[in-house]
Amino acid sequence: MSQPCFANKTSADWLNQHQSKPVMVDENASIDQIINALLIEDRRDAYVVNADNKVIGHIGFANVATHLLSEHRVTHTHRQLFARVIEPTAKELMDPHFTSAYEDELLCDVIHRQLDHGLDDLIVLSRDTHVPLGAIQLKDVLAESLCLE
Amino acid sequence: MIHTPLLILGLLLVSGLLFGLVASRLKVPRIAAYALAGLLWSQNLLGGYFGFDIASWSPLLTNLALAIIAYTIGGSITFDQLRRLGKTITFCTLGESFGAVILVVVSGSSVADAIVGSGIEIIGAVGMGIVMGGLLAYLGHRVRNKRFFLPMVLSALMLSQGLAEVAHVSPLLTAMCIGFSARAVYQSGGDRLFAPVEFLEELVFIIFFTLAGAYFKLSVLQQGLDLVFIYVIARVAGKMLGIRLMSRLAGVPKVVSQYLGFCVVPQAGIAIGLALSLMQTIAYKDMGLLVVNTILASTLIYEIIGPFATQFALVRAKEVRL
Repeated sequence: MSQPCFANKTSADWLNQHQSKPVMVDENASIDQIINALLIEDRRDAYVVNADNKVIGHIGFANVATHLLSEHRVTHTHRQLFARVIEPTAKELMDPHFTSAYEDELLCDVIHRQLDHGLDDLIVLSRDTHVPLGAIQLKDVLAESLCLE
Repeated sequence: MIHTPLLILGLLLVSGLLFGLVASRLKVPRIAAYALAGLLWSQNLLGGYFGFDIASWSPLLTNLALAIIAYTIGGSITFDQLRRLGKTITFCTLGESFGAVILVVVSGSSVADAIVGSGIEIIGAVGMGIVMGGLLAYLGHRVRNKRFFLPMVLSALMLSQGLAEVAHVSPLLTAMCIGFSARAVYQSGGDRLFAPVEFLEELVFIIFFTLAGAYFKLSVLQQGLDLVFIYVIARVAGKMLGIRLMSRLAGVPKVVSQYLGFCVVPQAGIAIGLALSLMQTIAYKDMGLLVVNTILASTLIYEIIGPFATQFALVRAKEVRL
């Protein structure tokens, strides 16, 4: 089985060939708004941005779905119970330690990170300004991997 | 006589698990099922027949279980969220708590005698909890490997429980404050700090409630049947009256003040935990077993009538339809 060669490709190179924007939600977005944003784009990872458009965290689809549908589950954690009453914002649900890639990083390193954190969409940031440049979608990586075989 | 803690614990876990699975299938509260499973191994039933000894080793487990429960409760809400909930919930919670305390204390003078001023104990616990929670949140930000999160939280809880014991402050309140403070300082959903222990929650509940059930002693309960009756009535009446009073003060809708009291009937972990901790306090050791049995019996009653009371309130308040 031949392996695709991503060794000389950077994240920026990848984004030039596979244009993809990450799903970004405002820090004050509600669970409904986050789910809507993910469903519209058919994605499973949302990145939270603050008023300065700086990425401050990550929310996975499973996390918001668990909160939204918790009333249909037999058991709840205390956090889920309160979340049903409080209507938490994206900032209150996100993981502030999100995984990202810089545009000059090699794709082979980035893919490892993406798989390690179980991310479908990995956000790529500018090294200088930390502005989001795009997202590496795992399904695109897989598709290219199969084409190369 | 069986003194092997692991064998006893294993039997408690297996019975708790089986009773819990049946309860889940029948859609009845699992907490009562765990307590009933423990009761099966109490001194009046199989525990007496096999000569089980749980008193020598169980406090360590119940203390840790209680600390985990208290920690997750403390971390379930933040200042911001409390503020958003507004005065309704704050006033009603205060009314519920103080109403129950006042009526239970007034109804049982022996309990009232046992209550001593504990301001320093509370302040000490809050202070220790804030410091430990802050440190835990700091570590939560620094440590990247998710495999370390569970040991990190458990070690903070164990350390704090030990320190609380040495400093004679409330271990339960300390754990709760660690949860609240850690979540506040961490400033997010707190998945790193809470998800690993939430994953253990069901196991913790089984251990905790089966052990509590195993402390059941019919002769002690018979001595305190009147106490159970007074406690069950006074607690519910106090909660209802407190809620009605405070909700009027807060000006909340009539439907809330009328029916919220029915929703707070259930009682479980913290009450049993406090009763168990009383057994470890030398000054109250004699009355500890009586309190545990009173609380256990009342928990079973509350867990049976609680869901029906809540259902009644929700239907009458037109929040749900059957």
